[in-house]
Amino acid sequence: MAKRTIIPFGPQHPVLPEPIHLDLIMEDEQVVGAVPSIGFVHRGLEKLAEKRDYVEMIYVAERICGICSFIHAQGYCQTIETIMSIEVPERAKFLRTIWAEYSRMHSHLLWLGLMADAFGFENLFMQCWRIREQVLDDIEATTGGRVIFGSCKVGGVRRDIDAEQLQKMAAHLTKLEKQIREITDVFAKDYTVQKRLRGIGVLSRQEAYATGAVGPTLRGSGVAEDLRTLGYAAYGSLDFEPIVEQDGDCYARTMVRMREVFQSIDLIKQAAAKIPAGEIAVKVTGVPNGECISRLEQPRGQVFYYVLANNTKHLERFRVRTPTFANIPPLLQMLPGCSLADVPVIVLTIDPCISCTER
Amino acid sequence: MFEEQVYFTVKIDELVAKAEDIAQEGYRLIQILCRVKNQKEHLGFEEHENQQNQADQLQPKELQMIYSFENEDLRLINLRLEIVQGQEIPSISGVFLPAFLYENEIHDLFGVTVQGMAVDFQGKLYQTAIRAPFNQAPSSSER
Repeated sequence: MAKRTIIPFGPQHPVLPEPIHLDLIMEDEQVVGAVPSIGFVHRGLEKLAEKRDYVEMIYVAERICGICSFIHAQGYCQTIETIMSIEVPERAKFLRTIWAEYSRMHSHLLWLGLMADAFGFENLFMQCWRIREQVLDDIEATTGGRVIFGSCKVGGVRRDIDAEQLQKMAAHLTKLEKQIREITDVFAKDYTVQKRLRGIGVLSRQEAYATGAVGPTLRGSGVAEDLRTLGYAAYGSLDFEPIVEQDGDCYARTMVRMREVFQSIDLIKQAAAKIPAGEIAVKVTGVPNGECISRLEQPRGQVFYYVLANNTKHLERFRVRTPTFANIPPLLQMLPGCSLADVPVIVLTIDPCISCTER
Repeated sequence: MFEEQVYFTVKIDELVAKAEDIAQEGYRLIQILCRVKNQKEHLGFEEHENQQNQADQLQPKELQMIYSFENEDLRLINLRLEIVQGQEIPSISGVFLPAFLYENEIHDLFGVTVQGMAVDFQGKLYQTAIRAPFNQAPSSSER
């Protein structure tokens, strides 16, 4: 019988952008089990909602995570607006959608780069991040920030994008699409990339659904769930379908994220073409009173917000269940049976965002 | 509102059976949350200032758990469970395996005891400086 050993993975590891610890139970080179341990970057942000004014709390919500920042702010604002029955102007909804899709693009390009780095293709990693820099430049030109946008507020958005700027953005995205296609062709067709990704970390459709997988981790296993189809923000006015792959392996999850980059480009162009004229925010007075659940689609998957307000300026409860937290049980399902060398690639395919996970 | 907000109230002894019924209907677990009801009425700010004996600050309180489930059509339903601090609740990880992670989190942050978790981290999932930090009133500063 093979001897079992325990190998620690993380919290510091070259492939991990943020700290998570896994105790890998090994028999020779094969993983037979994994035990996670989190809490290295727990900041108690949900508890902070009890001390911060509900308007100030937006600044905390968008700092839950740098990569997922805008959609955190959007989800928080949306939940408060539902409780307070605030009707956000249509133009603000379209602007939120545009920035959310830019956020998704830069997150997926970041991930594609990290994935290339994980299997040793450093040049591909650099190309992905070079293109991502251009996306961040577009975001900075419209919001003033590259990663923390600071553009969402209760009642609407803080900044507008004029028609000329929208046209420039659409033209730039057309140029970027060509560049992105050059690098995504490598992910899709390169022999060594396929050797490292195909058939690795397989998660069946049933396993993905039962273990609570969300986002590309779920869609890569054939389940067409995308919270944008609920129609929040301006998504109800845009034409798109959830991107799904059937194989459930690392390659399938990579393909989902890759194709979503192109989908985001299309959605931004659609939103830029359909955006109505009008106000970008409404005046908000008073304090919230009531409870509400909001769910949005972050780049990593479904994010769940629960807010309970008690007619004071401080919230009674602010709960965020982030997609990486939901993807930890599927990760523990994927690891047994793989070899030690494949662990970094498999861990990376859930696109772990530990700042979000621990809040 | 973009989706219907549906809540059902259950008691502790109905929780696992209700979870099984929900699983039979094709739903899956999305999240479990806990909150302290009427926290400000339970602890005065003066008591919270005293950090010497942290165990004294965990006085019996009313807590509310919300279990959220969704089906493939993205329909969301929620179960509300009211408990008193000190009451033990059964785990639903036998029905919905991912529940173990949420139940461990609630144990570490709120001090709720959950019986029969599929994977029990024995309070070590979150390594916090004080026990059950979310079960304490916010400090009197900065309010």
